[in-house]
Amino acid sequence: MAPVLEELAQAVIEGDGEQVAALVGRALSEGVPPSSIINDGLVAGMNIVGDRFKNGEFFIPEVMMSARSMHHGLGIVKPLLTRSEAVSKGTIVICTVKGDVHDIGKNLVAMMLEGAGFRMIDLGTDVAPEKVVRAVREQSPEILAMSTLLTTTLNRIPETIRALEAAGIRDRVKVMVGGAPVTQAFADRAGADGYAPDAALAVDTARRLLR
Amino acid sequence: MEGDIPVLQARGKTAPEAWESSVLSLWEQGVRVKTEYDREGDEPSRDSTMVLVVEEPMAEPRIHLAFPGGIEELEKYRQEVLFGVHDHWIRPEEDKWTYTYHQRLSAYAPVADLSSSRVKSPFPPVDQVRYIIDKLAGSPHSRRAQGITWMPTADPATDDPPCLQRIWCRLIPTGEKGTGSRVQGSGETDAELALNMNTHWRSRDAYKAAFMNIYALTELQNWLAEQIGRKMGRKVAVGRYVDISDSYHIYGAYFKEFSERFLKLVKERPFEKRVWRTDDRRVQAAIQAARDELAKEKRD
Repeated sequence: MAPVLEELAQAVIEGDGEQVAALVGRALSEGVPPSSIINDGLVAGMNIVGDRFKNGEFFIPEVMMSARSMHHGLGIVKPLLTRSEAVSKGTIVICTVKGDVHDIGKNLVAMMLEGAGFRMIDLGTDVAPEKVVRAVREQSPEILAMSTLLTTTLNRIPETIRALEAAGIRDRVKVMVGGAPVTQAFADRAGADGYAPDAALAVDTARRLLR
Repeated sequence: MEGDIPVLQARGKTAPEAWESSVLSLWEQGVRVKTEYDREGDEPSRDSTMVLVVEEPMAEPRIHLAFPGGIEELEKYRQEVLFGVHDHWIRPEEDKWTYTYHQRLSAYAPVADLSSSRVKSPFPPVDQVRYIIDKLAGSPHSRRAQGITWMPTADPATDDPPCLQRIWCRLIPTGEKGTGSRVQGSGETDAELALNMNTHWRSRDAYKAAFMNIYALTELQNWLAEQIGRKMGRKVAVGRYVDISDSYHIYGAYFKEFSERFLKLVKERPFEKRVWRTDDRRVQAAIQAARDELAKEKRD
């Protein structure tokens, strides 16, 4: 592997977006293929961050900073990918449910999943069931990930799942859920396929659902 | 004594030092007690009454890394508290927020019902932040410069009433023995002043909320000092910050994460590696990104 890719992975681990941009430029000038810059540099670095987070060796702001720097690099490299190179591990639509504008947990999960190689479609916060149904219909994701921080909006999770059923598209997508008040028992009752108690385990849950 | 909630004190030169010390002493000395938010199977929460003192609120490093978000979220929260950038989310009729600290402090208007933002108060809104600035600029010795958030008319019945109850500010001369007779080391007769601030909290998620609160409230203290100084035509420094919580707790649901990440990293990393300075190049870039995003949200 080109030494520049190891440096690039290290810059992602350190969350240094400026350095990431410089190293991506250097890798391109050295003739490293864009797909290798992504997989062996940016995603490789983010995978290490994910592992360290899972092992309790990183704080959340560090993960966010690393994800930010990875995004910076992806923004430069992605337009250079050929169609055949732009293959992801799967598409995930993610949102915070209707009535809830909290996005920190949802953003962290989205970044961890993107770092693990998934294509993320982020619908944002306060997302109505009908908007989720439309996104699942139009984007054909493998997974729908929903979260809420509030107990008052907890029931929007089963409501959204019922909206998918009513639209006749529930069997097209796996549903994973999370958020502070959500438990495995609640996820089971709501009819979700998977539950992740935190962002680190969300990647494992997504991988398991696609097996 | 059995049956008492312990009264703990934590002190540090900087905000991250004081906060970390508060959480560690809570973990070691807090009482084990159930809260209404504990879920089935959770261990009882750890609780205390906490008095936390930050000696130099604006001293670097300003940021502890054990908060649940990124720098962008911290900057957005700062602007939420200081400038009300999320006041438009106060829409209880859509199951959204019933208040923000900015709204309660800068436009306090008690209502009897918080189920709709369309319910009108019989009183005109009171800008308590402006009052603090005007009061202290006009009467530097005043002990009345305070702002409250609690609405006894409506808050007790809501699911998520405010944790912050009151902020209180006082100017103290920095001259010898606090008399205002002389600026230390300068020989000038017109003393510098320091804005001291106390904040009072009903209830507090010590692990996941308190640091972000302290960061934003000390930023508010700094902003108030600037505004008062501008109005007085004098330099007003930032004095000590005191943060008093009636119930300062770590929820049982967090114990695993608290032990396996926070305590582990406190043990394994030196303090300098558990904090960031706000002038760190990476932090500055993230703050700018948050500002750009907020500006875009405003335009849209």
